[in-house]
Amino acid sequence: MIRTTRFWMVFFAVLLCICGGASWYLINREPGSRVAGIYQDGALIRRINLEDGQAFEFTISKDGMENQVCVDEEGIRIIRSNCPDQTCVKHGNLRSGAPIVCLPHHIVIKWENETDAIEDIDAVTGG
Amino acid sequence: MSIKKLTMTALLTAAALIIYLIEVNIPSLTPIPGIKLGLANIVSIFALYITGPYNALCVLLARIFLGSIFSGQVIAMIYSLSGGLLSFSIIALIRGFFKISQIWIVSVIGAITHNIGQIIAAVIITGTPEITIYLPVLIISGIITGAFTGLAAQVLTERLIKLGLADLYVKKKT
Repeated sequence: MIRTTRFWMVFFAVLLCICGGASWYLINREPGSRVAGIYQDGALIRRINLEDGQAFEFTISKDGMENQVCVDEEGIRIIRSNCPDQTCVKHGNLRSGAPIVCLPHHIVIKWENETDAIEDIDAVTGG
Repeated sequence: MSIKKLTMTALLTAAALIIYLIEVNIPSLTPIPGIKLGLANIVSIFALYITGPYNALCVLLARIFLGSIFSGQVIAMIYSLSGGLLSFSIIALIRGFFKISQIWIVSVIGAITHNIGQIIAAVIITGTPEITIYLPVLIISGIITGAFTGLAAQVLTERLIKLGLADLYVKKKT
């Protein structure tokens, strides 16, 4: 049974539906807080509370890898990067559950959990 | 390794490299990291069926190493390697269970495992498990792109067998 083409067609169709539903749910999920965390190589670089309404830009640079981050009333986004694929720039603002990822530079910008965000609120200031 | 097989392997490596370099220059259609057409996998799968697993692995590794150097994406090589090797070992194992007319199924499974391998590497490197949010999207893209690249490899293999040109490895098997 497992060797028939029909079995695999049905299997892939079911998988497509499950993944379609799962990604729709995961990506459209409302974030738990309005605090964004910027991580490089798994280490927290900075936490930014977007409720503050401040507008500023800064650059994350490490070993010649540069990502310019812009924060304003619209949200947080990467506006310039010297990575080859530019996926992080095309992502635009951090809106839903889907984090901004710059794979070549190992950078992730994601919403923080509510508990983490409150615990470390001091790291938010200083823009 | 016979001269004929060696030449075929070299030719396939060159073809895979050219396809890869052209694909790198096509801007990605989505802002989701890791989604690619994977056109070079047509050659990987074709090589697996025509020259056998050992030579196909050589084609794959040479394409990943040279491709990332030529395209200037050496830092991204780890993602290609992890995805490529996981996917290759899976398809090399399951290949025997499928007919030539089912190469596209092998290709889809390969594409899905490739994306899973990439996600695992990304989670380890960036240290953020939240990236797995993209896994369902990557599986969808894997099914679609894998089916297309697999069909291309399948048609190519079938035609070459029909023409009697695929006598390197396939004949012993079928």
